[in-house]
Amino acid sequence: MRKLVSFIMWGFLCLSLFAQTSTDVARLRRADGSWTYVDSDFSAEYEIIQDTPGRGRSITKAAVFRRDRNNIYTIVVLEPQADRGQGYLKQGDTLWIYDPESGQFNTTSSRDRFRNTNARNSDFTQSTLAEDYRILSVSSVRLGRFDAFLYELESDKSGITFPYMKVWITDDGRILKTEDYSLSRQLMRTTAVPNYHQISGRLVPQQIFIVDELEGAVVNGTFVHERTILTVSNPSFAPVNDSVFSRTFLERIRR
Amino acid sequence: MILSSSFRYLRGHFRHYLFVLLVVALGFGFITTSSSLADGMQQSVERSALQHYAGHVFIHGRDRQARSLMVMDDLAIIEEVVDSLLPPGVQKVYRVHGFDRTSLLSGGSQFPLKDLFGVDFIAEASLFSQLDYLQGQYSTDWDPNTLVLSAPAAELLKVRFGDSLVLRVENRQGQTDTRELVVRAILRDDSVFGYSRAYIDHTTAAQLLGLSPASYSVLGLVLPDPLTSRLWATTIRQALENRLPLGGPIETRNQLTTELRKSWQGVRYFVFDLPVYLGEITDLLGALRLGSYLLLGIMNLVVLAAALVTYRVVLHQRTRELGTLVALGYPHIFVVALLFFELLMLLGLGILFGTLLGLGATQVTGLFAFEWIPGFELFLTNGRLVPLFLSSRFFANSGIMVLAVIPPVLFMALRMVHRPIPNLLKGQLTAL
Repeated sequence: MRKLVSFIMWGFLCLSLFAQTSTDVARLRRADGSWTYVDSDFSAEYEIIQDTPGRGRSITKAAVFRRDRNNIYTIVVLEPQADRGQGYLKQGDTLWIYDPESGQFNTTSSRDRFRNTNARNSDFTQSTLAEDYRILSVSSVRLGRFDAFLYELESDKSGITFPYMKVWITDDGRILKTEDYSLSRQLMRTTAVPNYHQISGRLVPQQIFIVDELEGAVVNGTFVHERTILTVSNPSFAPVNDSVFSRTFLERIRR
Repeated sequence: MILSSSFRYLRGHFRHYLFVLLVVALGFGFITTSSSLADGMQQSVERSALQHYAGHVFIHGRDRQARSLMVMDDLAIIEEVVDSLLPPGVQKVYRVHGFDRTSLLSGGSQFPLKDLFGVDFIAEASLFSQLDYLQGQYSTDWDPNTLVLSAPAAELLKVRFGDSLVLRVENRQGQTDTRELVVRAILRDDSVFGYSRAYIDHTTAAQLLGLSPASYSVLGLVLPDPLTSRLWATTIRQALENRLPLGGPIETRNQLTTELRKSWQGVRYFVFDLPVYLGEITDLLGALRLGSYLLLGIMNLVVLAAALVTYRVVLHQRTRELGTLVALGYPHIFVVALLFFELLMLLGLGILFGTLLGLGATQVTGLFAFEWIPGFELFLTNGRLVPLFLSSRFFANSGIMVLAVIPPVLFMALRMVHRPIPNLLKGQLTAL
C-alpha cells in the first residue's frame, strides 16, 4: 500500500513538473509570437538612434518589410540622406546588403551589427527563442511594475550568437527585457522593451532599448555604455507585394 | 715577379690612376650602400613575415560552414605526411589562428583583431625571446590568460603592461565567447603585420574558438633554406592530394583569394609558401631587387667609361715605356699581364675604399628615422634602415665590377702592345 501511495505521489510530481515545463515552453512560444507574425506580412518604419559616448548620436530611419512565414525580410534605409536607398534583403540563409552608390549586392551575416549600431541584423526578424534555446530555469519575479517570469536559456546550436540568455517575459508573452551572455557567461548586451503596440490583438514592440555592456566611454568620470533605441512606428499587417522581397526592388527604388 | 713589377708600376704611376681609383671607390661605395640597404630591407620584411606567420611553408584547413574558420581536423594525417617527407632541421610550428573573428575590448573601446594567434609560448621560446618588446619581457611563466599585444593595438585601446581586457571571439559554432586576459607584453611592431595582431596561449585560443584543446589551425614549417619553400609546398601538396580534401595549387596571393572564395563542405586544406602570404610585398621586393641591379649596371657603366678614358690617356703616356719592354724581348703576354695585375690591384683598392665608403654611408643612413614615409615601416627595423652586408653580395658586386671593367681595358692594352715596336717607341698610339 505504501508503495502504491509513493508511486502515485511520484506520478503526480512528474506530471506537475511536465505540466510546469510545458507551460514554460508555451509562454516562451507566446513570447516568440509577440515578435513573430507568420499568418500575415508585417511592415513598419523603424527609427534607430545610436548613442556612442564621445562620438555623438546618429539617426537612421528605415522601412522594414517582413514575411515571417517564409523567413524573408527587406529593409530600406530612408535616412540619413547620404545612405538613402541602401537595402538589406534576407532570402533563406543569405542576407544581402545593397549599396545604391555602386549598385552592388554583397552578402553579410545576420549576426553582424546593423549599420554600426548595437542592433544586429537578426533583431529585425522573427524571434525563435523556443526553437533555439532550451530552458535552464524559470522563476517568477517582478520587473519594475510588471510581474514577470525570468527565463534562463541556453543554446548549443550553430549560428546562435549568444549561447546564454536571460529573458523576462510577462504571462501574456511580452518580452520585457533580455540579457545576452557569451559562452563564458559574460554579459554582452541588455535589451529592454518597455512598450508594445497592440494591433488587432497582436503585439508589436514600440520601443527597444539596446545597451552594449562592453562598449562605451568614460564621460565626466562615469562609464557610459553605447546604446541604441529602436522606435517602431506605423506598424501594419497588410499584405506586402511579393516584388518587395527581391533584389530587383532594391535596385528599382534606387532609380 | 709580374705581381711585384705590377705593384711597382702602379705605385710609380699612381697619380695617373687617381681618377680611376676615385670613380671605382665612389661607384662601389654607391653599389655597396644600395645593395646592403636593399638586402637589409628585404631581411626586415622577411623577418617580420616569418615572425608573423611562423614558417616558410604552411598547411592550414578552413571550415567553410564555420565562416572559413582555420582548423585542422586531420592533423594526424598531415603530421604523418610531413614527417615522412621532411629532412632533419625543419622546425614545425603549430598555431591556432583566429583570423578576422576576434576583437579586444577595454574601457569601452573595441579593437577588431585581424590576427589572433594561439601559440605555445614554450615551444616558440626562440621566437618570443627575440621579439622587441616595448613593455614587459618574454617569460616562461606566461599563463593561459596571457596576452601579448602589438603596440598600435595597445595604443588604441589605451592599455599597458599588467592591464586586463576582454577578448571577444566568434567561435566555430558562430557563438560569442569572451575571456578576460592580462597584458603581459607589448610588442614594438609598427609593420603592416603588427598593426592588429595579438598572441595568446594556444589552449585558450582553441577553447575560445570552439576547438578541441589539441587542435591547431595551421602548421608552419621553418626551412633551413627558405629558397626551397615553393618546392616543399608543391611536394607536400602532392603527397596530401589523395588523402585529404585539398584546395588547388597556390602560388600567388590572388590564387589564394580565389581558392578561399570557392564553396565546399567541411574542412578543406591549403598548402602554400610564405611569398604567397606576402603578395604585393614580394612584388615590391622583386622591384627593389631589380632597381638595385639596375643601379649596379649604371654604376658599372660609369666606372667602365671612366676607366676606359683614363686608361687610354695613361696608355698613351706610357707607350714608350711599354714599347721598350716589348723591344727588350718581354713577350706581349707579359706586358698585358703587367697591365692586368696593375688594373686588378687598382680595382681591389677601389673596392676596398668603396666598401669603407659604403659602410660609412649606411651608418649615416641609420642615423635617420624613416617612419614618417607612409607604408615604409615594413622595410625598417625599429624605424631605421638597417643594412645587411652579405659576403655573397660583396663578391658578386666585386666580380661584376671586375668583369665589366677588365676585359675592355685589357682589349685596349692588347691592341696597343701588338702595334709595331718602332711605332710604340715613337709613342704613336693613334690607331687606338
